Amino acid sequence: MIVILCHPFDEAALWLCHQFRLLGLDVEPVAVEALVYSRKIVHRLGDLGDTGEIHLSDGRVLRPESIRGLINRVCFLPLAHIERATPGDRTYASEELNAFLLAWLDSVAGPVINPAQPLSLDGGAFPSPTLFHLAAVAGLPTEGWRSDARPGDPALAVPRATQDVVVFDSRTFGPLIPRGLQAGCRQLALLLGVPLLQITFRHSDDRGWLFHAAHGLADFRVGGRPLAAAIATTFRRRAAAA
Amino acid sequence: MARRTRTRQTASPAPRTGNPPELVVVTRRQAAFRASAGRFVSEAGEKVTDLEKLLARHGATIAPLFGATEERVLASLTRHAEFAQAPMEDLSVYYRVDAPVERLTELRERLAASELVEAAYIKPAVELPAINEMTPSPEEPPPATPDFSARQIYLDAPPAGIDARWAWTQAGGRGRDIRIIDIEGAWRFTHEDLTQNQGGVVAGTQISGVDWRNHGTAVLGEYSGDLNSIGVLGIASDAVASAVSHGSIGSAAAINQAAGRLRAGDVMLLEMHRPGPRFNFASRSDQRGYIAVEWWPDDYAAIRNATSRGIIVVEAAGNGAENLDDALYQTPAAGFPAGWSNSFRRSNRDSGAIVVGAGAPPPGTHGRNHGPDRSRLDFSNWGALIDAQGWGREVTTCGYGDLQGGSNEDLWYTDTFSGTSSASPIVTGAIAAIQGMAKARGRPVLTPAQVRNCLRSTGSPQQDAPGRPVSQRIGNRPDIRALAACAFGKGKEISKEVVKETKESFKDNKDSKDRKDIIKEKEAAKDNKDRKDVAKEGKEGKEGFKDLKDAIKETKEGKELKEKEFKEGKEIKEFKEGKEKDKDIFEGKPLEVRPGGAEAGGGQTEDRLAALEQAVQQLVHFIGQELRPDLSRSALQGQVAASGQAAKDEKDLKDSEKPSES
Amino acid sequence: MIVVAGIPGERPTELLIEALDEIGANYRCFDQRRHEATGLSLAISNDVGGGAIGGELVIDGERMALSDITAVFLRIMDDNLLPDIATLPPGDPRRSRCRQLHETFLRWTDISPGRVLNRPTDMASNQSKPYQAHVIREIGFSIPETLITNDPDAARDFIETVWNTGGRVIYKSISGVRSVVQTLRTDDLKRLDRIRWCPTQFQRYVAGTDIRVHVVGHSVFAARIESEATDYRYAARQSGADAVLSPTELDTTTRARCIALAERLRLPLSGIDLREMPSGDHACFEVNPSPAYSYYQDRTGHPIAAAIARYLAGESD
Repeated sequence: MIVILCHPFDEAALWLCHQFRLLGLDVEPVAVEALVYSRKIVHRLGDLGDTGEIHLSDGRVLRPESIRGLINRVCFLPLAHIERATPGDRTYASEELNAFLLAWLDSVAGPVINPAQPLSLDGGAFPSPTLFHLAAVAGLPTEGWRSDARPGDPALAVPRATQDVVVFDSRTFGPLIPRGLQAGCRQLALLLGVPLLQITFRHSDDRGWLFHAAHGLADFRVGGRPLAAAIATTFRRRAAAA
Repeated sequence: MARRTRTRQTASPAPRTGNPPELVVVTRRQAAFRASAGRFVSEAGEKVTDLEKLLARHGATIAPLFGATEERVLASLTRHAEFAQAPMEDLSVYYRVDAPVERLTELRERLAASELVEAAYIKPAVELPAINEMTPSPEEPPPATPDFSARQIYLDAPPAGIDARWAWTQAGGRGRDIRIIDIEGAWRFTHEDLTQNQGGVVAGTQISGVDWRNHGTAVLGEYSGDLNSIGVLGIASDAVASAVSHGSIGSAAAINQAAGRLRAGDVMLLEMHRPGPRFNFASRSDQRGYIAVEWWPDDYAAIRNATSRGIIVVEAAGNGAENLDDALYQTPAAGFPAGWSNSFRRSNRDSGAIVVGAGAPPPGTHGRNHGPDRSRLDFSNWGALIDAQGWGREVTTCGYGDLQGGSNEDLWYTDTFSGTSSASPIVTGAIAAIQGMAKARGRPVLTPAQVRNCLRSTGSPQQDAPGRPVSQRIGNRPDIRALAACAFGKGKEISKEVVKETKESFKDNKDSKDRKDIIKEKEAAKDNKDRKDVAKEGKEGKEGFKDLKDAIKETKEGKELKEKEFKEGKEIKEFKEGKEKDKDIFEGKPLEVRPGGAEAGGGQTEDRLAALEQAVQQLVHFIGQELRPDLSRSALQGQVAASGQAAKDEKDLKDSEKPSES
Repeated sequence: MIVVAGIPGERPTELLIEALDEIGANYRCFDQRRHEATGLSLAISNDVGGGAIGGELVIDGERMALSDITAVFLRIMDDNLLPDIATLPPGDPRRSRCRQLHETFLRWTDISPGRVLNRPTDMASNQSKPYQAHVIREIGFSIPETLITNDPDAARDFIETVWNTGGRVIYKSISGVRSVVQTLRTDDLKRLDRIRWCPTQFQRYVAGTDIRVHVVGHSVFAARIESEATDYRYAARQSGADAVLSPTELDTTTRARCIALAERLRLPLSGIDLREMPSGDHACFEVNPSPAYSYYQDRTGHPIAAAIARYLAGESD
């Protein structure tokens, strides 16, 4: 089973879910909220691995050991159910839930796209200095970045035109961009250590397309059906290898 | 101010202005100048002929800015001053000078030199935000408009939304007996989802052009969308929504006109921004440097008078990507009055308005990511004066037609209304809800200062984004329930239904007491078999949590994205701008995503959730507070001395705190 | 140039400063409490293929190019809790400036090419114990039998199973938030319903002797801890007697695993909590990225501060 773990309003994820079904994949969309609000969470760790079950309100049961692939779209930790706890307990519970979810995402048997990271559950949020440094290292043209940028600095300007590209598994998807930029995009994803990365370029009058931003929470629709097919192939291949 | 949602390589359209620039003159009060009802005199006997000639030479006319005659302006001020909470600004000395645009600059300079004149300045025209390039889908809508409310995540519980759905369970929580006036260019009051509690355009002439209409219609949809099962749901649909156009009368007069139609506690929304001093007041296609209108003296005076009377003025901060704390704004524009000071620094002077910035919606909303939830969006102005934020992207509302299009403008909806334009109506709706609740409880409506204090002290906090840290303030996202607690005190916001639920939950607690007894029994039991039976009983005795479970289940189930909604999805036209314009994207077997968007209205679920949350409030974590030492505090104590306390702290500190990543 | 960031009077930082003085290292302190006398700018250049990291750190008027800073030691406390900041309202410019300073500092230490003990992003793995346990397990250490659940029935089953096999159950936080490790007692079963709204972590108590290992680069210091308490850090509170610490040597495999674990987690400075089981094998509970090593140094005489100083000075790997 492939799980798409997303928020109910994440249309890119739901679109991907539909594409997977068209491609014949056994896919289950699961709301992050349903997982976190589950009335029965049981997760065991031991020397032999992780096992467990999360009972969803609709009767489905998630077992990390039987998930053959997971699209991780956990953008934030839903906390509506603990909103009225005392402030101290609420803060503590949110840390605990976050820690649990991080471990749970890391316990899934199949590949997770993108793997959760301690500082970003979706695994794809990076600080600007890191991005601009690595983008340049990867060979992408940038405006540079300054912590003390003032209004008027080109780096702070709101772009008038942008273009998005998605990198998955060392391939680029989306609108055609110059070959040199494509290589840089792939390199950036490698340097950041994520299989899936959406990169935004901005247009500058004098230097053409410049790196503007990147994150792992890609809008799959930018890459279209070729991207959906590539992800499906990866899941199939890994499942076969397993 | 709205922005296009998805810029592409194509250049932005030229900015559209509804009006020419305004030349505003402030006369010296002592001169008692009168330029109305056929008069051109100084009642103090000062010489006016030079001024009269100057105007004639430039083909210019002059007339009071805020009313038909100076006397009428003064009478209105006197009438309102009785009930005002602060001294009113004298609006009778403001004039509007109409002259050919090409002569305005020279005329201003000469006017400023006149003995009678205290100030003469040119205000760039209010501009329609260089707009949302959303275009209506060519596809005709289905026979009946679907329910889009599941896409309005901003209605949901915090932190994603403002908890409007909770407000609706409260008496008056849809803004009953509250009036809202939106000030901008144009609206489509014949829209199919704007039929209830609409007051129409009450002053000013609508500016022609579908872009202006779309903008106003989108704003209205957010707080005034009809309470029905089609289209969108307004946050405060019981409030009466009217509109004043700045077309033909200018922004300051529009504010004053609107104020004349509002009472203390009502809400005025300023959906305007204009080019500021950053780029020398120049109109730009990217709208950089555009700022909130209160910076200009006449707009400030009009706003100040409204807030002095207890009217809540909500003001879009503007889409200029500007730091409003910048020293640049301390310098007056050419011809500003001598006593002018920068109201962006409230220590100088304070308009009393609620200024709203644009924050990112939760990443993944409608499948797109605009950065961390509640982080400042790149275009939004920021600064210490900003009181609150609203969604600046992905706002589903009326107008534009990218969500549902076709040939009939009355049936258009958008999924991507953006800008401080889309943010401000969310805050407006939250305020109207609170004011409606105040009235329904027989309490005084909140003053502008109270609204501001509560907005600033509650809500879901702004978050950092790469390059757009929290220090670039746009404030918190409102949380109506927390606002209510701030306004009315805790525990008083409970509706009748919730009281009933609370009673039930009390009963549940009793049950849970029973359950404890059972557990006690269980521990006493040695026999495994017996224990299992008792455990079974224990399960049956779990009524205390049955409600909790049901409530969660119901809430989630209420949120199921049904087949219908996926068919709606088909109309979204995800690939309108993209390369793949697949017809079959959403065809085939509908998805069975269990917990989908938010439920539309279901009062029972909300009541149960409220009861659940009441119950949760009494719960504490299994690992109690006493077992969770506060390490950060001891980090500072630890260095005081090598006392016994310090030694203990050091041990506590072992491997202590996480690096500060907040 | 080495930069030591944190609260200089705090014992681990204080010991390091003494050790740096002893080897005559060139260092400066970024004292968080004196944040107003500290400035930092960070700039990433736009050279394609380079993205050079520039900017400067200013402490008490002395300007240092970031490119001249070869190593950083971080023991940073949450800047929101600094005494002069904690009382300020959220939007206060002094609070914003302090936040910005810290944020920029942490982001720079994430990408600085020099030696950093430890990089903020890497330190975050400690925010989830079970997440870290996955890595610990891959390295070859045993991990305690653990249940995380919000279901009282499942918790009871686990507890009964452990109890029926003569074991003890402890409970502790899942996250990096400190909780005193407690042994579960019969009385606690009455409170089990409290786990319904937040999953809670239960573990089979691992019998044996606590070993605390500090890894500094490739140097390893191990301390044996004798205590009757469930959580020796709170021994006086739990058992009435303080823990007794002594230096010890690790077997080659365990030592190699500790180094591998620190490398895998990219934490050149780490405090690893082990327990030597009666079988001789070691279970590992967690890896602390910001260890209060002073407690162990003071009681075992291990020259940990000196090792950190040498590592920062580039004199050891």
